[in-house]
Amino acid sequence: MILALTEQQIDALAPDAASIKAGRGLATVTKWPLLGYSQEAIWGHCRGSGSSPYQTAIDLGAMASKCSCPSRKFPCKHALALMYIAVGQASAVSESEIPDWVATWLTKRQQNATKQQEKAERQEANKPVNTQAQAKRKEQRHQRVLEGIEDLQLWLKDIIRTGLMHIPQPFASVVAGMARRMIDAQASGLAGALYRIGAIDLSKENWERRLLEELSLLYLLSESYKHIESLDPIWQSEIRSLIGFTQSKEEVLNTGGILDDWQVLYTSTTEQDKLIRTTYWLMGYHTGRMATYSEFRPIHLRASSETALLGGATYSGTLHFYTSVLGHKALLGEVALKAPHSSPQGYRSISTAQQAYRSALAQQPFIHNYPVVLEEVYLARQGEVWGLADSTDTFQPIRYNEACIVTCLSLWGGSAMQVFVLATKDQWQICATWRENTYKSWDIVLDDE
Amino acid sequence: MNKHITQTALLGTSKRMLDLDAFPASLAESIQMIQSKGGDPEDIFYRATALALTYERAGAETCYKIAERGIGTAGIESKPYPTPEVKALASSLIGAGRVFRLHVYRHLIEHGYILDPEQLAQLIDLDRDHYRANERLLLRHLGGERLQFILQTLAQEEEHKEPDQTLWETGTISERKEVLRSRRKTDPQGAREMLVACFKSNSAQHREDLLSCLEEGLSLEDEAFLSEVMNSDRGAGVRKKARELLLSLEDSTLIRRLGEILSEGLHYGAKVDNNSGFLGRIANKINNALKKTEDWTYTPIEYSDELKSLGFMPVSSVKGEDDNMYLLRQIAECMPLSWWSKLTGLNKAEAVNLLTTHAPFPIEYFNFESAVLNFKDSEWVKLLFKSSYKPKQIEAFIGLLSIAEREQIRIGITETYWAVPQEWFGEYYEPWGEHFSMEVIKTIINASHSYYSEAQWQELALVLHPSVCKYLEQYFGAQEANEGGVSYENQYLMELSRYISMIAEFDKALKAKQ
Repeated sequence: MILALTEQQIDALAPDAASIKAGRGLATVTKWPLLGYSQEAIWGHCRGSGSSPYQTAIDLGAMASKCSCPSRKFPCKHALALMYIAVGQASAVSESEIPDWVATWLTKRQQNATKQQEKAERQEANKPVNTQAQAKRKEQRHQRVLEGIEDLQLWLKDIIRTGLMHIPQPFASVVAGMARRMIDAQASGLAGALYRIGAIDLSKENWERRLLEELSLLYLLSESYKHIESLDPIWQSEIRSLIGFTQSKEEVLNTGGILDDWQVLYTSTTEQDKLIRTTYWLMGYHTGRMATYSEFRPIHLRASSETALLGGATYSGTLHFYTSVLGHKALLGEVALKAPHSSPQGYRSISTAQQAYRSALAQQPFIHNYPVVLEEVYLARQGEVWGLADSTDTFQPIRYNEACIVTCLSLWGGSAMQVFVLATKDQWQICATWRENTYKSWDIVLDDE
Repeated sequence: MNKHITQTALLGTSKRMLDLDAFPASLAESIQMIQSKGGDPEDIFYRATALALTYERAGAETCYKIAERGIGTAGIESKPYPTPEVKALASSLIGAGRVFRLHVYRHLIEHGYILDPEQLAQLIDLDRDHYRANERLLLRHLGGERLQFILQTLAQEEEHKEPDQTLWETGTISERKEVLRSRRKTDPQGAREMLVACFKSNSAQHREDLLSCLEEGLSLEDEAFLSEVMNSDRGAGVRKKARELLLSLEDSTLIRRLGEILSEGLHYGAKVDNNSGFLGRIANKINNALKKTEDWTYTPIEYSDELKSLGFMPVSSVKGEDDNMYLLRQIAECMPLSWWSKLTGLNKAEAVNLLTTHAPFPIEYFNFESAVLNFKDSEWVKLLFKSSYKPKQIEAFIGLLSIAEREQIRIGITETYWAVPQEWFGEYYEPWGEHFSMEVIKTIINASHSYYSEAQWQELALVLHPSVCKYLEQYFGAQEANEGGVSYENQYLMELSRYISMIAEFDKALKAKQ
C-alpha cells in the first residue's frame, strides 16, 4: 500500500468541494506522464495548460504536499489527484529513486522542522521564569474565580428559590449574561456549562428534568471548587479543568506518554465564541486505551489546523495524558500516519458497555457522554425506535439521523457491524462505523464533549 | 423521588421544602451528610438533586431484551462488484456531475455490475431530492439485493419503482404522462388501450397532454383512435393534436386523402393551357406568372369544408401569393417524399433534387422541411445533404441521422453564438464517429463557446470521439506558440479534452474486465 488513506479521508483533506471535484477529475493516469513513490514520498508530473507539466509531491510522513502550480489552495487539486491515484490506481505508480526536486524539498522540510524545534527549545531555555509573579497571578485568578462563583451561586439559588415556573425570560439571554460574567471571572468552563443550559429547549418534554440536572451539576461543580483544597490531587486537577484552568502543555508533554498505534475513532468540530474547537476520540490499538484530544483555533483560521487527524486513520506515536479522573484527556506527542490496522476492538455485549458507562458516571458525575466502541452489534428496530442489538438480543435505543441508518444498512446489509458511539443516559449517539477499508462518520449534535 | 424534586423545583424552595425522606434508603447516609453541612434550603436542594439525578443516571438500565430485531439481512448478491480500477474511475466520474453519473450507471449496468456497499452508501448519501426518477430507477438496478433490502426496511420502495397502474389512476398529470410514455416504449398497444379506457373522463387540456405521449412509438395501429379523436373530440386543441399526429404517419388515411386532393391541383410535367371557364382562366394566369416553375402546373381546388376542418387556411398572408396557390402549398407542405416521388414519376433522389432546384412554389416560403421533420425521414435528410441544398433546419436534420449517416455529411454552420443542439445527443449519448466529432469540434472552436454550461461540456465529452483530443492538443500547442498561452475561452476546451480522456479510460477499464 502506497498511501494509507481511503478516498473519503482524502476528501476530508481537501480545502473545499471544488478541489475534491477538480482533484478527482485530474486523477486519470493519462494526465500524469510521470508517477513514482518511495518510503518517504509520492511524486508526479501533471499536464497543465502550459508547456511544462506541474511537479507535485507528497511527504508521506507529515502528509504535506508541494506543487509548482499557481494555486493558493492547500492541498491543491494536483496533490489531491496524486493521492487519489495512489489509493485507487496504485498499479500505475511505480517505486523508484526519489528525483532531485523531491529530495531537495524533503531535505528542506526536515531542516526547517529541526530549526524550529531548536528555536523553540532555545526560547524556552532563555525565558526567565519569575516564579513569584507566577504564583501571584495564580492566586489572583483563584480569587477571581471564587468571586465569580459567589455571583453564580447567588443566581442559581435565586432561580430555585423562586421556582422554575418563574424562570427569568428570555432565559437564553439571561444565562448568556451570567456566562459572560464567568468569562470575566476567568472560569471559561463554567461559562461553557451555562451556554449549554441556555441552549435547553424549554418547550420540549422533560425540560424541567434536563434543566435541573444541569443546574444542580453546575452548583456542585462550583461548590467543589470552593473546597478544592480538600479534594485529592486527581480530583483537584479534574475540577480545575472543568472550571477552565488549563494544565501546562509542557508539564503534560513531559510526563511519560503512552506509545501505541492510535486509531482515530471520530472527530467533531464546533464553533463557539469565535473559536473553532475540534475534538478527536482515539483508541490505542495495542493498549485499548481511550483518549480525547481537543484543539482550538480562531474562526478566521478555519482552514488551517495544527494537527488535522483524519477520522478512521491510524497514527503511530505517543499520547501524553492529563491528570484526570477517567484519564481520557490527552495531548499529541510525535505521531505519524501509518497503514491502518483492522478496525478497533470493542465491547460485544451492550450490557457490558452500558455497565462501563454507568461506572464512569459513578466515578465522574460531570460527564455527559462516554465513548464506546461496539462490535458484533446489529442495527435493530422496535416499532418506530431504532437501536443496536447484540447477539443476546439486548437492545439499546440510539439517537440517529436517516443518513446514518441508510449508510449502516448500505455498508453492512443488516449484518453485524462495528460502531463508535457516545453513550448517554437515554439514547446512544452513533458517530461512526468501519467496514474493511471504509470509514463513515456523521455530523452529530453533541450535548457536551 | 424525581417527581418530588421536579415539583419542588417548579414551585420554588420558598414555597415548598424538599422532602429528604423521599430519597431512597441507599442515599440516606449521603443525604445526612448534606444536611449536616448546614447550608440554606437552596444549597441543600442543589446538592441533594445532583446526588439523586446522578444516582439515577448511574443506575438506569436503558437497554432491554427484545424478542426479535425487526430487520433481517440483505440477500446474497448474484452480480459482481466493479474491479478497483473501474471503481476508482467511476468515483471520479460520478463526482463530476449528473451527466457522467448517468453514464456510469448505464455502463455499469450494461457490463453486469452492481455497486459495492461503499459506493452504494456514498450514492444513497446524496440528498434524495437531487435524484430524478430516471436516476433512481438506474440506481435500483445497480443496488442489487442490498438496495432492495434498504428500501424494504425503510419502506421506501415506491420511490424506486417503475411508474405503475396506481400512479396512472391517482397521480398528477405529469406523473401520468410519465407512466404513459414509459409504457409506450415497451407496450405501445397496451399503453394506447390504457389511454383509451379513460380518455374521455379527462379535461380537454389533459386529453391533449396525454395524446402527445402517443408520439412515442407512433404507428398505423394508433390511426383508428386518433381519427376518432380528430373527428369527434369536443376540444379544439385535442382535435388539432390528433390531426398533427395523423399527419406524421406517412401511410395514414389522412395523408393519402390529402395526396388525392393535392393531385387534383398540382401537376408535374402535364401542361395545362387554354383552360376555359373562370377557373381555367385563373389557371392560365398562374402558369404564366410562374415562369420558373414551368414544369409544374396548377389547377385551382375548392376550399372545402373538409379542408377547413383539417385546419387549412383559405387566405394567404404572404404578399403577392395567390390564395389558391397558398392552399395548394399548405397541403404540399404536409406530403412525404414518397408522394412527391409518385407524383413526379422520379426516384426519391431525383424528387429531392427537383424540390430543391425547381420547387413547385417559391423556395422562399415553401417549407417542405417541415414535412421532413414531421415524418422524421432520415432518408430524405441524407438525400438533401447529398444535394447542394442548404437546409434552413440543418440542426434538426442532423438530429434525424444515425451516427453512421452523420459521418457522410458536412455541418457547415458558421454562426458565432451556436450551441450543439440537444437532439444531436440522443437519449443514451451514443458516441459519435470520428469525422462528425471533428466537424463539431471545429464548429465549436469557430463559434463563441465560453458560455457552455458544465453539463453541456460533459454531454459533449460523452459523445465526441477520443481522436478530437489529439486535435485539441495540437490546437492548444499552436495557440501557445503564437499567442504565448491558451486563451480564457479555450480553458473550457481543455476541460472538455480532460473529460473525454476520463470517459475513454473508464470505458477501457470496463472492457478490460471483459
